[in-house]
Amino acid sequence: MAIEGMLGKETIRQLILRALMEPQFRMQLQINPRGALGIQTLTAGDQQRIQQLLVAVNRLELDIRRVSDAVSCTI
Amino acid sequence: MEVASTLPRLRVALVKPPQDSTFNFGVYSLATLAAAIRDNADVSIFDVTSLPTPQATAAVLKDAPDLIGITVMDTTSAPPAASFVEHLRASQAARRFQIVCGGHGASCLPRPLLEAGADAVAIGEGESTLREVVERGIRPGAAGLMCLRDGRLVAGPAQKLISPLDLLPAAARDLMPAPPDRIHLVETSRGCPHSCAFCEASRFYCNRWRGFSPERTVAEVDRLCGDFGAMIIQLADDNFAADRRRALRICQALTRVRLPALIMLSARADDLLAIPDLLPAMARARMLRVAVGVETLDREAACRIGKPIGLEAYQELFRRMRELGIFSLATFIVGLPGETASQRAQCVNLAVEAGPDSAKFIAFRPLPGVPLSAGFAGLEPRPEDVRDAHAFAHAFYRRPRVRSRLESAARRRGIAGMLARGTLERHAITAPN
Repeated sequence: MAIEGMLGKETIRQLILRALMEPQFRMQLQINPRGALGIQTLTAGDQQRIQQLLVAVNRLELDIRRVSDAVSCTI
Repeated sequence: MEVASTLPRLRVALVKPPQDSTFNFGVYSLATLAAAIRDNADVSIFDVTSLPTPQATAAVLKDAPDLIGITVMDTTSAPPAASFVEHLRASQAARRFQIVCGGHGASCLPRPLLEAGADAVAIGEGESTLREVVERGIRPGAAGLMCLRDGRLVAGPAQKLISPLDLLPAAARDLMPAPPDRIHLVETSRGCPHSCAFCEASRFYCNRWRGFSPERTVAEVDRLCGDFGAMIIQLADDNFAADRRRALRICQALTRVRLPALIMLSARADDLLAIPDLLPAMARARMLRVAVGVETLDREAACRIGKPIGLEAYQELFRRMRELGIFSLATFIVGLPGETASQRAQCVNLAVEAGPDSAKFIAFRPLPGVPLSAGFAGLEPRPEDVRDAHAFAHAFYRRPRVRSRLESAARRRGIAGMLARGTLERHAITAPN
């Protein structure tokens, strides 16, 4: 089964969170996405979604690094 | 026949004016105001923070609003907000609009905003006051309003605080632009039960603390994650753990809904330590960055400012947070009135001793109406305090114990590791891979 249609908004959110917390899973998504997701076929659309997901994970990590010692009392 | 339905609805523009600003508190506060009046008015929210004033003015006036509400978040926001008010007045066409300013900065410094051309300033909590302005117009002497008449400030009685807070409708997030920094705000409480002598926030809310119900808070976090894709949430509370039992209930309930990657918050050390279960529950609810206002670690000075929490308590707090994977940010005030040279000389040593992951040193800013500001001339921090605050931050991050703690945290997986790496990078200390 391809992931197209399988990945709802919440599933994608959970995958982003998992890839953020588990470096191994994130690496697997990059080099062996079929294995990481446990699916047999990947359409071009699937691959595009995975790329978008990985971009989202990288951006989120940068966002987290950026806020590390920001204080809220400076408006 | 219903007369009301034939009347044109008021067009209200709520504006965060041009200024230097991090975090998006101003726009979020406008969304809570918008929610309180949208059944009676056509409301738009404008975030013109980063626009030059002429463009910001044109953007706000484009839809010909009847009423313009401007948020003034703190005293540093007041001068640019006053300048923005002047521009609005200078650009005014034949059709008259009214201007109301509000927020912490406006409550502290109403006069310059009124002299710049604002018709009124809402003092204190704004929702009820703005609603009354929409319904009845600006009436000098009305509750919560301050106006200028013949050069004199005319203040109405204090506005009644909203209680319980759950009476407020949910913030009008649909009217807000997406936060440019992707940090979503949630307010779970207002005010603080403590009355620290340097703090303006508790006075803004008349030294009363009020909380939204845990159910409402948890539903809001779930909605933000599900409908708005929030991955980082900042709790806008002055002191999240003021009601420790409630804080614990919120954390426990959050584990049963959709959560972001990171929730950030501020709280006081003694409140965080009061219930042993609270910190572990916070970690499970992904409250993984906690800012703790330490202010001073000198025992005598801590008592004087109304925050008598000792070094040992902070050491225990930051150690427990580290064990739980919660990244700690301690804030210190440099130049508290009455500070001695020896107290100042010990500031960095004691900050290192307390053991937070990161630290901010902030020069004391005398805020109007705050007990510690008595006797201060002007609103600006002293140059020597600003200089030392920078020097202390530099010195703190170069201490071997601080670097070693950060490097150790940076090697860990998870959010605390990322936060530690971010801190190391920002302070130009090599982060381990």
